[in-house]
Amino acid sequence: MLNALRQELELTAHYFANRCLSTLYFGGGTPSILSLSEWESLLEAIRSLYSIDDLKECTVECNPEDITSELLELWHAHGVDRISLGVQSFRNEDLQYLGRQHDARQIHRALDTILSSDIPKISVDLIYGIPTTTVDGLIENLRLIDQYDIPHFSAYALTVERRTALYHFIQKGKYPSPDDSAIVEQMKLLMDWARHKGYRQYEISNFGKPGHESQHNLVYWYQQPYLGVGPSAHSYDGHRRRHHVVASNLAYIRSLRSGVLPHRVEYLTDEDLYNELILTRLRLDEGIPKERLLGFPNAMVDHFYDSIEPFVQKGWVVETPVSWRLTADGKPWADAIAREVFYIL
Amino acid sequence: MAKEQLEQFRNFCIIAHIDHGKSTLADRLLEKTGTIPERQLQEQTLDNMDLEREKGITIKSHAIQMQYTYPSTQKQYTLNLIDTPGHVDFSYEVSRAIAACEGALLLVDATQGIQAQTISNLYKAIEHDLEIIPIINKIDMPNAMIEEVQDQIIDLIGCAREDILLTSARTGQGVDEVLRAIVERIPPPEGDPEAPLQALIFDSMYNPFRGVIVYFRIFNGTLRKKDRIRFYNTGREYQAEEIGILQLERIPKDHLSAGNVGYVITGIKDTREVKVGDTITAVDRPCDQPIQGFEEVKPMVFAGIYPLDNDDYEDLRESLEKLQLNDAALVFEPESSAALGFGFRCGFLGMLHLEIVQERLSREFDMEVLTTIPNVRYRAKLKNGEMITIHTPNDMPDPVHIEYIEEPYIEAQIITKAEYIGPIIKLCLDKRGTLQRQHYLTPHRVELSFEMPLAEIVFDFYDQLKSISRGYASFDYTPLDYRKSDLVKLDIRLNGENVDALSSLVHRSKAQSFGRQICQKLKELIPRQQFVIAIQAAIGAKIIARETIPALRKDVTAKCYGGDITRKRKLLEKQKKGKKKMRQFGKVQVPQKAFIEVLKIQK
Repeated sequence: MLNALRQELELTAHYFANRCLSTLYFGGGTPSILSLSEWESLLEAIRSLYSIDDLKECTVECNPEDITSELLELWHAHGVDRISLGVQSFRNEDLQYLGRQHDARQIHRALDTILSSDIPKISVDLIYGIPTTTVDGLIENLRLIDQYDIPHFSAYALTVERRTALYHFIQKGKYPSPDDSAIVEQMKLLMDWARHKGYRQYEISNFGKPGHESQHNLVYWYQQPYLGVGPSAHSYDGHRRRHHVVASNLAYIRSLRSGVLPHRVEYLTDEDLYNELILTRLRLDEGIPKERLLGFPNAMVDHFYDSIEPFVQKGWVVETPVSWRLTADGKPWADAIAREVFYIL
Repeated sequence: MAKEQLEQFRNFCIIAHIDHGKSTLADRLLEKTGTIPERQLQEQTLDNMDLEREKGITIKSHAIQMQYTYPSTQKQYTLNLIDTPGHVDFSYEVSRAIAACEGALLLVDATQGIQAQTISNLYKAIEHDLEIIPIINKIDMPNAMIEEVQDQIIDLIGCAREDILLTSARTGQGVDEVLRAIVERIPPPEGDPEAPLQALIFDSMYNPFRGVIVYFRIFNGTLRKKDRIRFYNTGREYQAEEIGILQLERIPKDHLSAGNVGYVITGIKDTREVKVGDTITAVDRPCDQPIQGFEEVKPMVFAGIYPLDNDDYEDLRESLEKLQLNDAALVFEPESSAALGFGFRCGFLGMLHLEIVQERLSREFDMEVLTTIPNVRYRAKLKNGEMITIHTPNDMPDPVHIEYIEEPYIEAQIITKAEYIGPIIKLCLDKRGTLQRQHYLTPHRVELSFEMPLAEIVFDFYDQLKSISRGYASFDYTPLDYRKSDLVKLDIRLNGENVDALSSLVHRSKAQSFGRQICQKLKELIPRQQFVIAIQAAIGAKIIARETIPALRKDVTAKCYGGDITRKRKLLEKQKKGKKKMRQFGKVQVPQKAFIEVLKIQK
């Protein structure tokens, strides 16, 4: 796999003309399972192809059970300045429901290790709305976030995906199914708590103290170019071209062994670009900028004005001099609004 | 002279259950008499619609003439085989075909024994004094139960054991004996070729080039080419442009006389002008009275048929018109529904007829349609003394104006193995039937007879009967009369808004369970929306069943990074397109799939 990754990096090195990276993110699964020497070789490969002198942010996503001070040291030596830790919850019964390998004890140890390392930035992932937890459970989790003084966290409503173990257990009635009302109640509590504690909900699921917003994720939401490497990674040239790599690890490795990147290219139409702008910007605290919107063909702009109006009436969307933004009441309905505002032929 | 002429004819039909080998036996008869050279013989010549062959039933009857030389005397005989439609929905047509014959071959599968339909057709034949020639077919099968089936037949018609012929239509064994028996046992027709013309119409078919071709059997008189003829019951007059006999093709003749079977072409374009059971007579010398037994065939079952895509409305109309050309029993008129758009209210002879129409629409015209809950024709006596008929739930007047409602009853005949009597009686009682007769054909086979409302068999009766008897029950019915009944209109409402396509007329005792079933199904099929949806089943203002779809509390994706963006965009686009196709009732959006699934409950 590592050889294939190195091979893909070489094949795609031309993606950015200046070969300068401003953010780097190791994620999409559990990159922390790589061994020290594997990390060494991967980071070397990137460094040999790109300049990372202007790197603003370099994140590694990892699970609590994989954190060691040796790994943190190595990462730091190679420029990693941010850890995104998959905590999910500090409560063992929640972790069990989610089928996670780690327990609360490992989380605390991981946090202590990270906070005492040289890596300056940290973010944690939380999942709320787990049926094993009441509001009290969520409050307990947030209290610990506060206690550790975590400056950035992502909070996701529990989503049961098909073809997962959890889905299977729920179908079989072994596990309780998440409850919408509880999720919405927790979502509201979370938003209030975060505002009160000085976090900005700069994206629906992302909360950061000023200056701690994820620079990398903003690239996705601002329609800036990015290159994704590895099976099922997506890339975008910032204009109309997207490509994504095959999802199958085996097909990926085989193909790259013969020097071919197995990928599919897609060119975005005006409608696609408009719809993606709506989808991503509606989720951002800044909202949909008028200046971007007005660059689209008249039919789409007219449709936008017609379809957003009922939501303004409803108090879910508010118009500012420069944008349209979701209100706190509108946030639980982001997809419903996007669906209406989308333009399809 | 006349007598001699008549002596050469033998007119007969074959009474058999589906798959008992009627078509195969017919093929063998045609082959043995040299009517068709063997190599030309397509399997099962008499069934010429694809659908018939697949369903193993003869939808439209035909007739075919054979010349046969009786071996010992070398005398020539003209044998007319009149085919009978093989399903319960066509019992009137069967009775007219039987009325055109002097004899019937009672064909019973040696592995299956006698079935209900065979019996009811046999009764019709006996009623018409037909000579019955019992035949046990498929005697070459390893599981043939010849003796047991012989016992059943003897018990049923009281013949001698040696009167029963044994055949294998598949191998041809015993077919010569059948031909000899036809000549020996079936009496020649009676009648007077010199008397005024009197011919029975037993079938017709539409030919795109020639118009309607009318099949008839002459009882008295002689029909000549170019004669002016009159259809007795409709009173319409035509010129017999072409007459002739039927072999594999039509063979034109100058004249046809009493006792014979043939066709006439008069240039009629509309199948509905020709009524099966009507009498053909001559304009210049008409007969005194028509042949008895004529009935106007009326549709028994009604349902709305709607195109899945509203743009196909005109195509659907054209397709139905074309179907009607060779299916005079099909009637339709435009109808519209808030839920389903524009479509047609169609009348059918029965549920099989409905299925056949649906299937032919799909197969011959590539039309995918949605069929609403079928209902029968009700009659309502109003308080002002007026009597009205109700074809669709929406015709139902306000209950306050109704004195009483009547619904059609049928006599149902079921033949089954003795071990299934209990569950079958229970089923029929559940369906508001009353047991009239229980008759053991053999120690193991029972014939049950019930009076029950037709409305109960248009729902899921066949399927239930089949499943509780593991397939060992056969069923037939004949219409009886109209009887007073406690019927109500069951409405389905979404947040108070009536969904017209889901209204139905049901017996009061069934309304609640039926209403609950529909509400539950809708609850599964209507997606949650931003508000609470109340699904109600109601009789007038009274709610009898209710389900609630809770409001959606949120609609937002948790994660939306890199690859999620395109995936999520495509998903939302797809959902938006799906929403456009939904039907709206008040604020409630209902996917078309919900209608299709709910309408399936009835089947």
